[in-house]
Amino acid sequence: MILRKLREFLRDESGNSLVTLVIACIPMVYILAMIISFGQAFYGVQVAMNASAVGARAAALHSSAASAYTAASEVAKDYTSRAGMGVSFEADDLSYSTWSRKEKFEYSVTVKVKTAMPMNPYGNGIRESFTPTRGCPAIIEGE
Amino acid sequence: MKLIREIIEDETGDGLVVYFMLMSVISFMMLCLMLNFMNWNSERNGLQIMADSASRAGTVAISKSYPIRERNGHGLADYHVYTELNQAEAGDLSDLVIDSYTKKLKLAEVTKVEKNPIGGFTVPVWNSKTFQYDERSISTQKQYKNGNFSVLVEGKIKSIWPGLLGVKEELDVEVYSQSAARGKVTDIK
Repeated sequence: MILRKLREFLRDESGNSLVTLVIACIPMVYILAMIISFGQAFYGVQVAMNASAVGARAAALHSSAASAYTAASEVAKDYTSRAGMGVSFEADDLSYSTWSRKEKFEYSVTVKVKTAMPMNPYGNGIRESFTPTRGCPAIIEGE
Repeated sequence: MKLIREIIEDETGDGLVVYFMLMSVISFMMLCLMLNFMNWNSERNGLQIMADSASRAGTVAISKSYPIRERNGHGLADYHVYTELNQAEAGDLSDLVIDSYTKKLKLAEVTKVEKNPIGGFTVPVWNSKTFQYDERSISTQKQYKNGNFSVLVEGKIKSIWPGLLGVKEELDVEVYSQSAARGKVTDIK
C-alpha cells in the first residue's frame, strides 16, 4: 500500500514545477552571489582609495617618515575599520625618497574584502576574498 | 528524460520564449547602465581625490607671511595675512601630484587643468583686536598672497560598452578643489 503510494508519487507529474525551480535555483543563487561579491569588491576599491587619501593627508604634516607612516597607518586603519561590508585593513605602504619638505610621496592602502557568498567549486568561481590596493600621491608639508 | 523532452516539445513555452528575450534585453540594458554609473562615480571620485591632493600640494609653496593693518568698524586692526604663496612653485607642486595620479588612470583622462581659476573667495583672516578670525573677501590678485590655492580639473571618463543602447562614448567631468595654507604666521603683535 505504502509502496504503491510512493511509486505513484514518484511517477506522477505534479512535481514538474518544483524540479524546474530546483534546477533554476542553482544558477540564480550563483548570479546573486556574483552580484553581492561584485558590489563588495567595488566598495572595497572605494574604501582603499579613500583610506589612502586620508592617510596621505595625515602623513604629509609630519617631519619624519617614521612618524608620518605611523600617523597614516592609524588614520587608514581607523577609516577601514568603520567601512563594514566585510572590508578590513590588510596592508599599507609609504614610498618616498628622502622625506623632505615639498617632496612627493605616495601612500597606498590594501584592504581585504571577505566575500559574503564565496562559491568556488572548480577553482574559477567567486573567491573567498579580494585584496584591492589603491594609492594617493601627495606633497610633504612638514618642516 | 521523457519528462524533459515533453516540456521542451510542448507549446506551453511560446510566451515564455518571448518573455525571456524581452527580459534579457531589459536586464542587459540595466546591467550596462549600472556598470557605467558605478564606473563614472568611481573615476570621478578618483579625480576629486587627485584635485584635493593637488590643491593641497600647491599650498606648500609658502615663501613668507606678513601682517597688514586695515581700518574696520572699531578703528585700526591688525590682520595677519597667513602666507604668501609662490604661484609658479605652487603650480609645479600640484603638477607633480597630477602627473603621478594620471599615470594610473585607466578609464579616465585629464584634458585640462586650471590652477586658481576662480577669484573672489572669502577667506578668514586673524583680527588681533577681537582675537578671532574674520571673514573677508579678497580679490583674485591677492588670492595667491593669502595662501589659497585652487585646482579645476576637466576630464573625460570612458564608458563601458560605449554606443550600446544609447550610452555615451565619453562623459565629461569637472572637479574642483581649493585649499587654504594655514599656519606659518610670523610677527604676531
